Amino acid sequence: MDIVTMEHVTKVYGENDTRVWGLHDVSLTIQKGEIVSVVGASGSGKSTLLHVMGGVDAPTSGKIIVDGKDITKLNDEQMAVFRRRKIGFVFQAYHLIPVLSVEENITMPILLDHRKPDKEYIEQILEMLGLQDRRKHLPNQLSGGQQQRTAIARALANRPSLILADEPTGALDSKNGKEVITMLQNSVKQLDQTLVLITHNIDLAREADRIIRIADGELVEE
Amino acid sequence: MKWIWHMCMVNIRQRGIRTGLTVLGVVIGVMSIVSLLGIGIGLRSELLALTGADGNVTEIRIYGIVEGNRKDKMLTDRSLAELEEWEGVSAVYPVLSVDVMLENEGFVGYGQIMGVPREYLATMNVVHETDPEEPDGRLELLMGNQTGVFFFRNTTGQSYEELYEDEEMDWTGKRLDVTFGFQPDSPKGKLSVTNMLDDSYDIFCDIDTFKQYLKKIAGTDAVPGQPLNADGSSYQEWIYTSAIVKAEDVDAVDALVKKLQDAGYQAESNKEFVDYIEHVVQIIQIVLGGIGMIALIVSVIGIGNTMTTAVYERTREIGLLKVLGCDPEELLFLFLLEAGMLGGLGGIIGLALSYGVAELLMNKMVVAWMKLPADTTLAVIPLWLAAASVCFAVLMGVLAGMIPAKWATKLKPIDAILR
Repeated sequence: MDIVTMEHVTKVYGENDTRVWGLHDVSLTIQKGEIVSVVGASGSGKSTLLHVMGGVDAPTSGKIIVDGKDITKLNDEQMAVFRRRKIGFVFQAYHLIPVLSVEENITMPILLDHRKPDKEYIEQILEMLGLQDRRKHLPNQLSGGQQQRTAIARALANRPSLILADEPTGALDSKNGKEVITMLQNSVKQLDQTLVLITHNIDLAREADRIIRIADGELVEE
Repeated sequence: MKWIWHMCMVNIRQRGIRTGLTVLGVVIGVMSIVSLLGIGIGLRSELLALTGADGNVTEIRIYGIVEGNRKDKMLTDRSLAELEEWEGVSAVYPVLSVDVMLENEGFVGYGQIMGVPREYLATMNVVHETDPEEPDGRLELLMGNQTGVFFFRNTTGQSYEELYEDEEMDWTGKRLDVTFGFQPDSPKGKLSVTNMLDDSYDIFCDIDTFKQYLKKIAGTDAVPGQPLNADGSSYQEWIYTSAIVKAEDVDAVDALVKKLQDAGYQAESNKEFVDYIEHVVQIIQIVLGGIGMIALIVSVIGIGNTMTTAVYERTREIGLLKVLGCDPEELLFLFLLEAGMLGGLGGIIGLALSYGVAELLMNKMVVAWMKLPADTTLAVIPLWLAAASVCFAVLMGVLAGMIPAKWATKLKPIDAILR
């Protein structure tokens, strides 16, 4: 089953002389349960691809269907609902809310969706990512690896259709990076999620089911 | 909704310095405007109380014409009943004054006893709490506690006021020798003082009892204090010295005074004087309010500034909340709630400090320093001012937070998060 379908998606930044192609006629599909790596040079359009797929940036043209819904047709409010229910983001810089504890950060997407957190499920995620002892800590009391695991836990909290990770190990040393990626992949498999992962690390990329290469905003090979 | 509340509280608590500075701005603004307005209000009531002009601004005192043939302008039961029918008049009270000489314990005083209706007596500020009793036909006096200035010791010529400077005059229960009129054969009697009137220079009694009493002591002679007609005999009805016309409200007073004067009565009201004081107080309040306003504007700019900095500083957090799928209006609400709470917190602290300024600084220290009577209230913060200032502070916070909060909700999530 296709979880993502992109048809002729283009993203252009700026106008006229200052036009820059972020994405150039990209079409692809991702299956449910797949782990896909996106690789490419800096500025090749990897992040743009992830952003339009996750509904945090709008494409200039083309069609993006995620979990059966054409997200290019949604307004701001519908887009917010789409993001919190269908997408889990993991960023290179963790992006945790500094004033909230680990547990509060993790349950945030559920609260934003006006639902009550499922305690058992949150426990399961905390355990999977080795964060049980850290639940009351604030982000600045954690190591980089722990912060990124918290961010992953948050991405999993709403049981989204799609997890989008933008260089999640970019800020970590190789040992911690390896650990985080392993945990991410295990969690995704265990919870039957779909993962799109941007990485510079070719070893990490190879562990995915499929590698998408991107250069100058175009897919070069799959 | 719960998470917004939680975020808000956590933010206020964890960002201590910013919270402190913003709140301080509001505190200064609220404190200056509330204290200054409080001083304005306190001064007004204090000035009015000093002049004794508060409370009875709706009263008009009229005097009838006794001399000449303008008998129609004499104040009689008939003419007063007519006045009572006038538009804007709520009541008319006759006043029957008789010149008297009073003697008690070696003090002699000259003055007037004024008979007024019992219902008017009931509105006066008596010193001793008494049960309202049925009139028993005995004439009793209510004496102003400032009347000491009219009494002199017949041996040394010293006034009662001089001799008992530090004591509040209280002749309650005393029996006074009263002479009605200043002639050697003027009728005499003994009257008891039943209560003292606070802050008054007058002596009152019930008019109906007074009439019976006067008739009794006059016997077959002319009633003391009553004018005689052209052929030297008494009129058939009572002629009052003056009357109090009570207007329905303050706004009706001026027109009523004019109408009474046009009708031939001599009429005067406290209102003119009160208006003058109000005018002076208004100028004081404008000056004080102006200074407060400047402080307030400065503090609003302060809140706006801190809120804006706060929003810029949290751009990434805002972006993140949007990426996580926060509803735009919830995000707006989060920031406005935070701004409103900072405003409210500042308002409450500012109000508390204003009470400190009013009660301790103005009403205690300044009063003591300027050697004013201890119960002088230079500053008063009424409940409405307290409530209004806190509401206003909340509103101020929300308004100051509006622009940065709107900006926050319009941010594109990905731009914000990558900043």
